[in-house]
Amino acid sequence: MIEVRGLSKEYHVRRRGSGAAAVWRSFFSRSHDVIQALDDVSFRIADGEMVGYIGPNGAGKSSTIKILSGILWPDSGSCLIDGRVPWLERREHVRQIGVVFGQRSQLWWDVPVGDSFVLIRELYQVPAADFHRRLDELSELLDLGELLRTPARQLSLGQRMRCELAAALLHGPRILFLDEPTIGLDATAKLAVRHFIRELNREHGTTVILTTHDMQDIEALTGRILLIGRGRILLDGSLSELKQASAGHGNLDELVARLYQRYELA
Amino acid sequence: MSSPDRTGSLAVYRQIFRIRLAGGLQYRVAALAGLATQFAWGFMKLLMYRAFLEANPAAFPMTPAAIAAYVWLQQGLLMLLFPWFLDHQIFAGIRSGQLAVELLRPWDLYTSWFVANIGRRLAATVLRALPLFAVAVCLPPGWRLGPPVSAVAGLSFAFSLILTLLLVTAFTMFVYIASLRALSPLGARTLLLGFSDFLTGGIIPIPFMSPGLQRLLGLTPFASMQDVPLRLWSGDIPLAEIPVTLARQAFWLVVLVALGWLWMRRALRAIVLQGG
Repeated sequence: MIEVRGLSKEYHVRRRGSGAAAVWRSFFSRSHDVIQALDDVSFRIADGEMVGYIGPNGAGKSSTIKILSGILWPDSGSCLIDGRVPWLERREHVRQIGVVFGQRSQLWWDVPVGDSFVLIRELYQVPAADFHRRLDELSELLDLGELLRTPARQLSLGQRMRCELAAALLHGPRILFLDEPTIGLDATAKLAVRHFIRELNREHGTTVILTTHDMQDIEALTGRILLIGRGRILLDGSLSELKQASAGHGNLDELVARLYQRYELA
Repeated sequence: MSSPDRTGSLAVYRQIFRIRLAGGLQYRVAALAGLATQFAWGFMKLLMYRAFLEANPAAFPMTPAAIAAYVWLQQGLLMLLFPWFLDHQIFAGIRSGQLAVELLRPWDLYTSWFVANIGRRLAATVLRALPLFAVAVCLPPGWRLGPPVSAVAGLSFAFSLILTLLLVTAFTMFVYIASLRALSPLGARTLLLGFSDFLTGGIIPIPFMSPGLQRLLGLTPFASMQDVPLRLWSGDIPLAEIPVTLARQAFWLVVLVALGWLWMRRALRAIVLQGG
């Protein structure tokens, strides 16, 4: 159970113009703007749900995921995940979650993927029997095979993403956070990743929270959508409710673009 | 899933240590190149002290054997003793935002960085120290690295060397934590490391400094770093002073680790993880 109430977070962004004069001025007086990344965000996600978290760039999606995974402290608001406050009990919390950042790797880049997995097993102290059972299952579902013996740096993006998914699940987390898991993937790889996430949710009841810009991910995976813009939750409902809200025709991308316009996000 | 027991979390840090030790041992060519530098540097320093000694033997605060031991041990154990041997992966991780992934692991970040640094330092030292000592013990008397003056000196040297390694690492943790706050802490880093190089006795041994400065340094953790083991070996620290000297090292270790750990906790609250 994930319960988020009134979460707010602001960032200070240093600004200065370009050119020598601006650099000189900024040396003496720095100006910064306050960016409200999250502004009173509240929602509740039940066990076993699959939720798509969408919104334009800079809307606050990644900040939310970072706070929910315990690595970023909010300025105010509360969040309880299975009875824990993620950022206060980070070490216990991260044992229960898996996180995949599409733009970052959690594999040790110069050792074979299989070695990284063994390290992860030891870091999370996964009992040997559990580890082998999960690894067999993940290898089959994600078609890892030969990849396990390949150094992470030599994997293609699609191969790497499959390995990242496995790496995030070896310790059997109850909740999986996916931050743009299909970014940059080709059609085949996207389908494989989506298929896998669906299976995972169905077989193990893993709660999945997914941020993405790919509306096909949303369509294929999630029953529920959270739309965030300028740090606020603008819509919380099903895909058909989202279609209604955008009141128009066209494909999903067009619908969402219209929705962003309506909320003056774009 | 139950929370990990104590031995369990120790296994985590043992694992980090192993990775970094194994990683560090790959750099054999770098070690070989470093070795040549350390020999040249060691000889240069010894020549300099020889000149001092011949100019005014009465003003020379150490015996020739003690200074030779000091110089060779220092050159061989460089990577254990000096604050400037930093882990640049940590800085890169902070700048790129890869730190986010490190925070997702069920470990204490302070301990994890600390242990990784010890692993790196040991790996770099193993590659350099043994060949250097093998040659340094064969040099003519007055130039060579002799055995420790007594069993007590040898034992307290070993003990103090471990304390120094931990203390220096605890000191460098402040540099890492500072870079959690400022993105480019190059200025602070350069200043801090430059001063500490001198203040720990890295350039000249502390007994060669003016009495006033020596007294002042005695009040800081710097005098409890490399100065202690390098002088214990040759008996330059009298027997009676050994317990209190070691206790002072342990005291500073506890203080620096506690302060660093608390500061890191504060820094992580305010941290901004770079990138989307």
